[in-house]
Amino acid sequence: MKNEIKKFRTRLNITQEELAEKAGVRRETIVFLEQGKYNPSLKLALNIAKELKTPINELFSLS
Amino acid sequence: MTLKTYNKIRIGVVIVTAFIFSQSLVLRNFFIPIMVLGLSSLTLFYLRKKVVEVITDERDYQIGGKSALLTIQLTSWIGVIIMFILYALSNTNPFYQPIAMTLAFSICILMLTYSAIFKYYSKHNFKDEKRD
Repeated sequence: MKNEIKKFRTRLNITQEELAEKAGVRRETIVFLEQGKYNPSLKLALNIAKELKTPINELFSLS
Repeated sequence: MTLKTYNKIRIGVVIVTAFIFSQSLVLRNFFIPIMVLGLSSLTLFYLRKKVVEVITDERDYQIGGKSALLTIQLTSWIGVIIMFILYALSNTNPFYQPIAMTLAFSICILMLTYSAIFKYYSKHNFKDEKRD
């Protein structure tokens, strides 16, 4: 699964730490997500999409 | 409390607990280690509640699940191999047989407990309220 978290996060000028805090996960999880090394649960994906003010289908896609 | 402070305190508590635990056993006092273990567990539990940052998340739970499964599989295989070796050598030393039996039963209990807990969570709708 591919994601555009880094692109949308930098566009909103949010740090990984801030996004992690808002999504309720550790910073390391955001790092692994951005590197494409971890596939999030639906709940986390929705939380991240909400925090990045982006539709989930624009944020995540099947590679 | 920040996660960094919590981790520092946790390391300190573990060192102090291990020191008191070992010294008490050397002095053949079995009451103090139990007290210290309980007290340190309660202290860490209380401090954990005070941490405002996220300590564990869904990725940790996922890794934990995979690690637990692999640990059980590895432990079982190693245990079974050692058990057969001890049984094969039981003619040379009669003490090997009870050790092999204990090992076999321990592995059986471990696997049965794992299966029972796995079946429980797969039948009941697994939902951790703290996470969901």
